[in-house]
Amino acid sequence: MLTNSTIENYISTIPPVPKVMKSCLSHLDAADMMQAANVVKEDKTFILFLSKIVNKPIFGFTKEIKDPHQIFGILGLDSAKQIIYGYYSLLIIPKKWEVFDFSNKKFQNLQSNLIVNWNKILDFLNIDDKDMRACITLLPAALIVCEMLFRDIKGTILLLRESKQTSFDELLFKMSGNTLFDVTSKIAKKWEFNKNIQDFITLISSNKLDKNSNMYRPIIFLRLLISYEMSKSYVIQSGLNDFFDFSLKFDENDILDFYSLIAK
Amino acid sequence: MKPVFKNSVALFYPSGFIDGENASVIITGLDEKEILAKKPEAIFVSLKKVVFFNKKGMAYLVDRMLFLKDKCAAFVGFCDYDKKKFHLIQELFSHDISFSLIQSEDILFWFCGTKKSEEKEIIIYAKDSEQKNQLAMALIERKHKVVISKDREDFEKTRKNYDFMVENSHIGSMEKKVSVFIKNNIIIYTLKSFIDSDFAKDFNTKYHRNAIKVGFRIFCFNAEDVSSINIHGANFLTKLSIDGAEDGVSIAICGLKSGKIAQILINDIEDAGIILYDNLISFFEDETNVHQANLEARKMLKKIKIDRKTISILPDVIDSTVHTVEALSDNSVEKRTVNIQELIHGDDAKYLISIMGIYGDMDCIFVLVMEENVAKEVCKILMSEDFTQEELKDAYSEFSNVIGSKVIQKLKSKHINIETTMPRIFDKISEVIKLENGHIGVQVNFKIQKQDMILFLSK
Repeated sequence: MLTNSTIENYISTIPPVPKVMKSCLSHLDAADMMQAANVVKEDKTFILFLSKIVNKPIFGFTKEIKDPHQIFGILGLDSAKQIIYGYYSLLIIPKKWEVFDFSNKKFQNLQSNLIVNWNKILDFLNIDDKDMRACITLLPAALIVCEMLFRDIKGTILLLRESKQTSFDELLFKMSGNTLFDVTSKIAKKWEFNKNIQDFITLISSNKLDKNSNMYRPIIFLRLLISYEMSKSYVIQSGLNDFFDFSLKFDENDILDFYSLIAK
Repeated sequence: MKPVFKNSVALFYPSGFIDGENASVIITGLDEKEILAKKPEAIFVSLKKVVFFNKKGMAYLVDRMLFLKDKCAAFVGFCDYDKKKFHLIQELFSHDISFSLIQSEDILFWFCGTKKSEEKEIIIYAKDSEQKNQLAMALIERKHKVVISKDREDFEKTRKNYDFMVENSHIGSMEKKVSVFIKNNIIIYTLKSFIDSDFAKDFNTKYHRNAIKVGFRIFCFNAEDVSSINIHGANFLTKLSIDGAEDGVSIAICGLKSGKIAQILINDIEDAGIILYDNLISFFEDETNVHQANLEARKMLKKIKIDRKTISILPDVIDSTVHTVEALSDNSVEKRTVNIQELIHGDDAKYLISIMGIYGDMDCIFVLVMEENVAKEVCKILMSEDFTQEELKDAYSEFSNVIGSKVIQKLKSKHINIETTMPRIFDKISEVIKLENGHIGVQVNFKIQKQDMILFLSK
């Protein structure tokens, strides 16, 4: 059985963010791309991650890009920050996925798709909030959380889901009172993300979303984006479909706006 | 995406978006194989968690469902949608729909499966009068009381007077085949078309035998939709009745009218102890059937001792049970004693008991006894917060099924192929002891939160 203390124990095992990343982010915050690239230049794992992500077809670059100066230059400040946050997930990613038939390659595909599509959405909604833009790559950490928390009771959970059609998120909530995004928000806190980002992540699965809040539309579109990405065939085949069950009904116009924006 | 099988209905639950990119992984070739092997009465895709669909995605799913319908004559379509989605699907397919649309999963089970609503009246509305009749006929066939609304205005005005209503639905084609369902602890076999030597050959005798083993006493063959029964079909039914008599099994047949069967065969059937009823309603009106099905325990003449083969699976059964209980209760389970003996229990605490038949490479009975408080703890994830006793029993049945599935998986990895029957749930241990009738098996006593849990495996 999963309890709140299981989650707290899990959070306590999560390593802090490496100093080099913190330093890189502070340079990006000061709009000093050159220094930011210099800082990460010596971190070979990070350079490999960076080039793997930006050379995905969804970014649309025709030539392979390897040098961090070049990568940061092409991406711009905001996208560079997004990708650095995405790198945080590598700190907790399992070597081998056991609950889901997933892989680190698929995980990075998901991260890339989220970055590109989320940027399209924010542009469409005319939202220029750096925090909101930056936190998107942290969201797939919810998948890792799910993989790690359910690992010990995998067999039971999969059979329960078969008989009840309950989403993983709902199962976690019933067992511990936390949604997967609540746990992701706790990780964001540990990694010293600011309060706005922590609150934004919690709102994703909240059913107390205020229609008049300026967070309403971005959250709705983000839920649609998560639903959309989780419906991709490689995700369904991995057993991750039906990961969340957003109880809120979507407005038909929002759905059409979203689909024409993303699936074109 | 694996389909979920509920009372002879295969259901797919996709979520999010359905389009040309992902439709082929919703119903895969592997899923089709499984469906063709299990031959369900209906195959439906639930749109409950679907946010958006386009024509390409839906057309693919329809194509696969119609293929399956051709192969196993199942009732196919979509369920769980709102009014907008209903009209959208009709428009997508230019109102030329060869599959069915049923507005919710609950209502789907009025058309197939085991939904109990004989006592309720259902009001129907459909714009198209042919559809109105189709829906009504399909429900009447299932013994529901149906009222058809004249028009939308009439429907809106009178719907509040009825317990249930059907609207925004469409019937494609309802060619159903033989199905099995359980009501009030009675197994009902629904028969269709011809009852002949093919029926005898295809009848799942293993399922029937194991259902007897786990304590089902009354079996009803609903022959209301049968065209005719010949001598081979009649002989098979009489043999089934005579064989079952030793275990105190009663067989009834409903709707056996003289046009369907020769009088001499009816006499043979009656001589074999089979009771005949005009229809299923009159069968259930006979209170002795329900009473017997729920109280009568099997009177086994032969006492079969547990053998080494059965004992060899005990570690896997224990492991699957303990792991599931610990995972769902957050309490450790302590094994106290293991003995070869009759099923016994310590005190008069309130219990929930499930009995499952295991069959295939080996035949045995698996009994799981839990004090009610522990059962509530392990089942809480399967129930709403303010659950009723009936919900608790259903949840305990699902929980037992999860353990059964785990045992199947574990043994499969050791190349032992078994199947399990549906669990029969009791809340009086004395009934189960009566049912076991002094059988010697292996009993393992556990303690969880100072309360009793008993696992009993017998032949």
